[in-house]
Amino acid sequence: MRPKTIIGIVLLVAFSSLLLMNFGSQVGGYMNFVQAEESGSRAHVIGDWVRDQSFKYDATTNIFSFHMVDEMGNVRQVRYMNPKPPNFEDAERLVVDGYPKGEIFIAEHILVKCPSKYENPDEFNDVPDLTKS
Amino acid sequence: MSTSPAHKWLRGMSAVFMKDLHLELRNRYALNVLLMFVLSSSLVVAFSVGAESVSTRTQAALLWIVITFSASLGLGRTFIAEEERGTVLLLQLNIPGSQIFAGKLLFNTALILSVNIIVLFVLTFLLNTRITDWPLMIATMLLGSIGLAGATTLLSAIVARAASSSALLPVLLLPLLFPLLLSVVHATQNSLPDGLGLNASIDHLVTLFAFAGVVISASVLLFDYVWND
Repeated sequence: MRPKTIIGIVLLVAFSSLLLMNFGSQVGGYMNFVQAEESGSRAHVIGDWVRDQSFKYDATTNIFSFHMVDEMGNVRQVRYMNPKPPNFEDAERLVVDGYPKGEIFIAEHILVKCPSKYENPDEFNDVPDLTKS
Repeated sequence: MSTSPAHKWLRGMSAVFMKDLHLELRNRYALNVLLMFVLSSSLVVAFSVGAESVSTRTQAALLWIVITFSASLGLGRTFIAEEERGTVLLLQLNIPGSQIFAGKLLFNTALILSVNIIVLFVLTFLLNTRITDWPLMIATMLLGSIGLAGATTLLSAIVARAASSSALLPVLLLPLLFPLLLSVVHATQNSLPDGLGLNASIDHLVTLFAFAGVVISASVLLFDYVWND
């Protein structure tokens, strides 16, 4: 009874730590395209839309594809299996969440960082600077 | 040779397994229920989807919805049937708990694996899709079945003495299966057309393996407390 309990607990701890570590790696950290292709696993990539390269939405296959440049300057085609996100054109920055597949990045989610509509930066210029006086 | 403890343990396990297999082949209760459930739910899926082309993610999800509910329907029988037939005491007297658990686990794994293969072929035919990465699909089915059977076997032993046992099992089972379903749906999606293939799915397979390991080692630890009053 005693050795069985010990072996059981050791196995339980080993398997659950494997499970937890693996689950953590599936969430995917922030990296650039080259790092994502080297690791081959899920990744978040921050970058900008390359406006002068081709982009299109194919309504029959429901694939939106465009080119994105990451923070290190690597350009890759990104494929998103959904319609184009609203206010995609206004984006200051994009974060794509997905997997690399060869030279193409398959995005499961796209986070579009838009400038806020509710702030007018000019208004703040009139506020007197209270720190100096 | 025949008196070594490992040999004796294996003999006890295979005795329980063969007993369940013979009983199942004689009255085919679980097999009939599962086949009816699988066929009718697959047909419902096929009719409601119609000629629409569904994304591979949805196809994988539909496949595992059918599998999960058929597992919670059919696999719970193992211990509940012992309770109904009044053969629990006989088993408790004759064979140590760990061998009973191993035999039942083996039987449940075999049962759910054969059901999974049927579901897979029926749904790929009805949804008009095909499997592009067979090694990944086989590994996913195998590890998924072991995890599913491991979780269900212990829970059905716990639930067997409750009054409304067959209704209680799915309720307890679903939260436990959450990590399994998450990985298994992704891995299945990767083995369908336009999927990412085996290399991108190693993480999911490791998760499935670890889940099966956690569930089975926890069951081995806990089974004696569940089984002996």
